Amino acid sequence: MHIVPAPLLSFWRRLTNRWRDDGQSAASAEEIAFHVDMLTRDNLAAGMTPRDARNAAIRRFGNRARTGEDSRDAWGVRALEIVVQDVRYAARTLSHDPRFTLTLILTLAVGIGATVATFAAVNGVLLRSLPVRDQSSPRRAARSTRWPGCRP
Amino acid sequence: MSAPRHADMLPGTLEMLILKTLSLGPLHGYGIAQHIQRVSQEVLNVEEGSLYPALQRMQVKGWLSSEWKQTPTRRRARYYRLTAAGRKRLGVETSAFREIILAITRVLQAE
Repeated sequence: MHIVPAPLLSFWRRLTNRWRDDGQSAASAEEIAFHVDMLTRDNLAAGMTPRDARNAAIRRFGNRARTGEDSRDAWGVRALEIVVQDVRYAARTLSHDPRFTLTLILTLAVGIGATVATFAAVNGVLLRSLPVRDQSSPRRAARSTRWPGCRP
Repeated sequence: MSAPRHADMLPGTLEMLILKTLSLGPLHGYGIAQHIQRVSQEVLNVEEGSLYPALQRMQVKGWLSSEWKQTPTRRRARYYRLTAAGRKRLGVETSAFREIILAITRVLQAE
């Protein structure tokens, strides 16, 4: 049965639950509604008016939206949603000021381009060794013209 | 000042109580809360805000599985069921808990 290590399995469950979302992933609205209905029924049986019974049940349950969020959190889905929210917020802010955005993009482009070019040169000239087996064997070869009367 | 009425006064206690409750048979969230409250003679009051996140956590860990079924009153509800891993976990947690209680008792009774 245990072919897959447990942490991997639990990550896989999170992932599949994110995309499958057949109601298994979180305390769904229906599940919470069922719970509130049951509490309402209890309150009615205890002699409350229907309106009070329902309100008391909802109050007792706390913030229903929050319970759903916490349950989703357990699946690690909330983290993904926060990332998406941040990206959307960034896009919105940048689109408000196109000139600032353009300056920003140009600065980044020039900066990254210059860095890449510099590194490429340094890497090729200084860092990479010559493709020979013995680093001390290369000799400088030059041709010189001997003029009459001059010593070599 | 009233006495604390949490089912989670010690970390992990709520999960253990859920495991124990489900070892008696599959149940929906409301049923689990009711059972713990009734059996503890209203001392332990399970908060829904901690119950459902705990149920999800325990499903992620593979201790529980769940399915939608009809209740006796012909409503759809999500029933939780103990898995083999959950049953094993219940044993581990129960004996660890007994040890802690015993240790605390010894300290409280020391003279």
